Amino acid sequence: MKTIEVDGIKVRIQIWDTAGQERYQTITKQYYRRAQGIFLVYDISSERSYQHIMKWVSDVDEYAPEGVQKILIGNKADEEQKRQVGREQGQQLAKEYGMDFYETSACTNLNIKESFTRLTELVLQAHRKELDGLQTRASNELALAELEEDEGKPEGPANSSKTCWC
Amino acid sequence: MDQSVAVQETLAEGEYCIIAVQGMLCEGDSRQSRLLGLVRHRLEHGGQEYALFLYTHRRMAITGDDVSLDQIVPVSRDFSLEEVSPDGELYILGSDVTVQLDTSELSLVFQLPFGSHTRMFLQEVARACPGFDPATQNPEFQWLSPYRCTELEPELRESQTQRRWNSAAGGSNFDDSRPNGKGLLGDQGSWGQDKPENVFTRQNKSKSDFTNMVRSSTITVSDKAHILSMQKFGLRDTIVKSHLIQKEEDYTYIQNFRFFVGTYNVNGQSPKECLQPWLSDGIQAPDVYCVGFQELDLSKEAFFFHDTPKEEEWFKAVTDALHPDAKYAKVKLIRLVGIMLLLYVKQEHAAYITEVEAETVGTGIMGRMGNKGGVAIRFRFHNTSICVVNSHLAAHTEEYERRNQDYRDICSRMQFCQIDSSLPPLTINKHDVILWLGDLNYRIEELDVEKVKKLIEEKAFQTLYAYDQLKSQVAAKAVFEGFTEGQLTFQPTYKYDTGSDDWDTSEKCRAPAWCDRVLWKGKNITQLSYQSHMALKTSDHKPVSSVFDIGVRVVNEELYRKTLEEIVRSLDKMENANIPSVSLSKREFCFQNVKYMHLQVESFTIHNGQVPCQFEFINKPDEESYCKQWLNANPSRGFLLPDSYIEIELELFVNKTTATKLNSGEDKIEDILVLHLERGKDYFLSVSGNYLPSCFGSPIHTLCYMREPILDLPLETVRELTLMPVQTEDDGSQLEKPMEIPKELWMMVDYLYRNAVQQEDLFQQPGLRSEFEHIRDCLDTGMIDNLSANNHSVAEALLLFLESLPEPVICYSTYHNCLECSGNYTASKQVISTLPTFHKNVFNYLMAFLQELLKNSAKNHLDENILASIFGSLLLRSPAGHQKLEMAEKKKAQEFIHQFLCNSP
Ligand SMILES: Nc1nc2c(ncn2[C@@H]2O[C@H](COP(=O)(O)OP(=O)(O)O)[C@@H](O)[C@H]2O)c(=O)[nH]1
Ligand SMILES: [Mg+2]
Repeated sequence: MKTIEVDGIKVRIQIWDTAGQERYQTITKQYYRRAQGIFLVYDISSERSYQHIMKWVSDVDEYAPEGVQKILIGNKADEEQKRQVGREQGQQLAKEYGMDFYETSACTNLNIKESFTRLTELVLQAHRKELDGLQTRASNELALAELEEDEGKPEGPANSSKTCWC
Repeated sequence: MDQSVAVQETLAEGEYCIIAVQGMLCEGDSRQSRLLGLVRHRLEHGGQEYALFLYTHRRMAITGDDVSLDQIVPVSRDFSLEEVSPDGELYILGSDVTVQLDTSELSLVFQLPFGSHTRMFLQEVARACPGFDPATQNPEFQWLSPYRCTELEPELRESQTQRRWNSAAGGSNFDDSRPNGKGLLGDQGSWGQDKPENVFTRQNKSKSDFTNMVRSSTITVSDKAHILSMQKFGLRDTIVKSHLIQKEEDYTYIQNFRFFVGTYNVNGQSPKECLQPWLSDGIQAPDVYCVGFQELDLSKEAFFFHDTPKEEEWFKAVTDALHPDAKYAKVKLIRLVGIMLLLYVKQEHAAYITEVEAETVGTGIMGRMGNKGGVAIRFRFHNTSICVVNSHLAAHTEEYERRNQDYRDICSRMQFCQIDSSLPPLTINKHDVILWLGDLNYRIEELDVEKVKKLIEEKAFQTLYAYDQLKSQVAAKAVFEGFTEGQLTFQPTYKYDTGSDDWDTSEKCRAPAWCDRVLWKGKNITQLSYQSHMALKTSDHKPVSSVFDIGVRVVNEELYRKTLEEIVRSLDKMENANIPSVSLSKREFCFQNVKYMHLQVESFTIHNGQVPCQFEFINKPDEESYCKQWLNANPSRGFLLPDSYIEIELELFVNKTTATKLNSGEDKIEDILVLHLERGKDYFLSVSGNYLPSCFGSPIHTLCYMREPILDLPLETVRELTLMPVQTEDDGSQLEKPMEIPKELWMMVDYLYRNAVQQEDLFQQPGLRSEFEHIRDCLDTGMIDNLSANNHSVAEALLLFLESLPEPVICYSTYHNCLECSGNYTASKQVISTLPTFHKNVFNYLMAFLQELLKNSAKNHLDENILASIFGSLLLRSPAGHQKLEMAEKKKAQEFIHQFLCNSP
C-alpha cells in the first residue's frame, strides 16, 4: 500500500510484485486480471531481460483487462558499468508499444517516485470519466501490478534495497 | 423560519413533512416563489415513499391557509434533485443554490437560499431517493391520488401527471439516469480540503468589483453522490486530519491581519449619508470587514415576507464606503429580518477564505421570530477558524436577564453544518476567534438621566461605565463569559434625536446607553481602536467601530506538504507493517526417482513475521485442489502467532490412481503450490521431480508388449505403449510379437506356484512394506532371480498388481454382462471369451493358478469361497468407480469367479 498524490488527488495504490520466473507464468497470468496499471521491468545490465519484455507485453495484452496502463522500466540504472541495454533501446521499445519509459534505480531512488506517479496518472486518466465531478475529493484505491523480468537471482534479504523508497 | 408547519397542515393523516424550503422556480426569466416540502408516507406493509410537494404561497407561510398545492413530484427511481452551476457561472459565495429537479417527465430549476437549511433539505431529499437495489419494490405512490385533485389547473395537468406517475411506478430507467456509481469513489472521502490549493479562486465576469468570489466549501461537488458520501468519511481521512491538527504548529506561523468590525443600529432608515466616516476614514485599509446592522427594516413586510429593499440599499452603501485603497470581495451577507451582517475581505485574501457558513437564530416573539436574535458568519481564514456574530438583544432597561438569555440562546442554537456531516454541528464557541458585535441593548443602571448626561458631558466615561449593565453582567459571569471588551472612551451611542447629536427628546426620554458594542474572544487579538462615529446622524444610534490586529495561522505550503507526507507515509508504513509476511525456508522442492507407492517427504518451515497470520494453500485459478493428487501438504492451513514458525511436510505418494498418467507422460512430477496469507501476499512453491515407471499401474496389454523390463525401456516407449488402446485381437502388426500375459504377472504367479502353494493363509496375511518395494523393483528391472521375499509379500504384490490395473482383468465394459450371467457357467464362459485376448489370457491363467492352489487346500486351508471373495472384487471392478458396491453386486462378482474355481475349464 502506498499513497501518492497526483494532480492534488490522493491515490492509494496497491502494489503486487509478481514472480517473473517462467514456471510461474500460468499462475501469474491470472493475477493480471486485477491490475489497472502494469510496470514492465527489465534490467539494463541484462540483455536477456530486455528481450523478454516483448513476451511480457503479449502476455499482458492477452490476460490483462482492457485499457490497462503500461510503463516500461529499465532498472539498475546505477549499474552503468555493467550496462548491456542502451537507453535508446529502451526508448525505442517503449515507443513501439506506445508506452512511457523510465530508467530507474531502486538503489539510488532514481525515477522511482516519478514512474509511480506517472503510471498512477495514466490510470487516473483512463478512469477520468468516473472521476469527473469528484475532482479533488476522491482518494481512490488503484491496483498496480508490477511485473519484473526475473533474472533468476535468488530472492532474499538483498531485496531490502527496494524498500528504501517505501 | 420553519415553513414545514404550514405544509404539514395541508397533509392527510399519516403523512409527514420532513423539511420545507422556500425557493424560486425559474422558468426562463420568470421567478416565482414556491414552497418545497418533502413529504413522507408510511406504507401499511412497512417501508415508505416520498414526494416533493410544491406550493404557491401568499407570504412567508405560517399556516396551511397561506399555501396552495401546485404540483406533486413523486420521489421515484428516476427522480433526481441536483445542484447545478447556473449557466456555467461561477460559484458566488453566499449566492443562491441552483438546483435542478429531474424526473423522466419534467425538469424544473429552482433557486434555493444559500445556507445550511438548504443543504439539509438537499440531504434529506437525497436520503429519500429510493435505493438502487432492484430487489426493493418500486414505489407506487398510490397515496398521492387524493392530492391530485387539489393541484392547480387539474385539467391541464391531469394527463401529464398521469403519465408521470405511470413511469414512476415503472421505474424503468433508474439505473442509467443517475450517476450513482460515483458514490463508491466519493466514499473514499475527501482529504486535503483544508489546504488552500484545493480552494478554487475564480475570476468572476460580473460587473461588480465586489464579487470576485471564493468557492464555498459547503457543497463542492454538487452531485448527490457526494452529498450521500459525506456521511461516510473514511476512517483514514479522519486520522490524517487529526494528525494534521495535532501538528499544526509544525507547518503554520502566525501572521497579523487587520480586521474592521462595525455595528450600526439604523432604526429602519435608509442610508442617507456616506458611510466612509465610519468605515474607512482615518484608518489603513483593513484586510477584513465585518459590518453589522440592526433594525434594518422595522416594517411588517420585512417581518413577515423576509424581504426588504433595505438589504440592497445598505449593502450598496457599505460597499461604496469601504476603504478606497483596496479592492474587496464580498464573502457573505446574512440577514434575519433587520439584523444583517456583511463580510468582506481584500481580494487577495479571498483564496484563503474557506468553509464559509452563515446561520441565524431568532429570539424575538415566541422565542423564535427574527425581530430580535443574532446572525453569524463562520469561516476559516488560512488555518484559523473565525466566527463573527451580530446580535440584537432584547430591549428595555430592566430586561437584562432577557438579554442574557438571548445571548445564551444564540450561543446554543447557532449551529453550523460541518462538511463532514457525521461530525456534530459547529457552535460559536468552537472557533479560534470570535468577534461579537451588535446592539446588545445593555443600559446604564441606577443613575437618573440627568446624572448620566452630566457624567457624559464631563467625559467621565470610566465612572459611568461602572453602572453599565453589560459590565456588571459580565462580571457576574451571567453573559459573554471569556469575552473581552476594549475600554469605552466614547460617549454612549444611544439615544439621539435622528439627524442630530442631541439626546433623545421624545416622550420616553430614554437615558443614554452604550447599546452598541464589540467584544472578542480568542488568542493573538489586539484591539487598535474602539470608537463611535458622531458624524453619522441617520439613526437614533451612532455607529461603532473597532479595528483589530488578529494573528491568523498561515500555512507554510512547503512545511505543510512535508508534514502531510510524513503523516501519510507513516500511516502507509503502519498499514504495510500490518500486512502479514512470512519467510519460507525453502520454495523449491525436487523429488528424485519417485517410485510407485513409495512415500517421499520434503519439509520446509514457515517463519512468521510480526503480524499474526493465517496461511493456506489455495487452489490455483481454474483448478479444484491446491495441488496434484499425488501430493499433499501437511498441514495445508494454519494460524501463526507473531514470530512463531511451523513445519510443513510435502508428501509425495504415487498410487494406482495417479501412476498410469505418470507412466504415459500425461502427468509429470511438476506442480506449483500457492501459499496464501490472509490479507497478505501469495507465495509460490514449485515442486519438480521424476517418476520411475512401474508395471504397477500399467495396462495388461501394454505389459504384454513390453518384452524388456519396464525400466530398461526408453521413457518414450513406455509412454507410447501405455497410451496404446486395448486391442481385442492381436493384429500382428508392426510391433514385436507380444507375450501372452504380462511377464510380471507370470513372475509373481510362478514364484508363488513354486514356493507358496502349500502356504497357510495365503492371500490372507499382509506382506511387508519393504518387501513390496523390493518385489516392485525386481519386477520393474527384470531381476527376478534376485527375488527373495516372504510368500505373503509376493501374494500381496500380486493383489496390488491386479488392483493397480487401469483396466481390470474383466474389462469395465464387460462388468455388467458378467454379473448378469453369474450362476450360468456356460454363459459366463461365453462372456469371458469376448474379452480382449490379453485379458482373457490373464483371466484363464489366474483361474488355473487358483485351481492349483485349491488342490492344496488341505495345507493352505484355502477354499473356493475365500478365493472367490478375494479375487472377485479385483478381477471384476465396477465402472462406477470408488462408489461403495452394493452387497448384492459383490456377491454376484464372487459367484461369477466361484463358478470358474469349481468347474474345470
Ligand atoms: N544495483 C542495483 N541492484 C538492484 C536494483 N534493483 C534490484 N537490485 C538487485 O537485484 C537483485 C534482484 O532483485 P529482485 O527484486 O529480487 O528482482 P526480481 O526477481 O525481479 O523481483 C537483488 O539482489 C537486488 O538487490 C537496482 O536498481 N540497482
Ligand atoms: Mg521480485
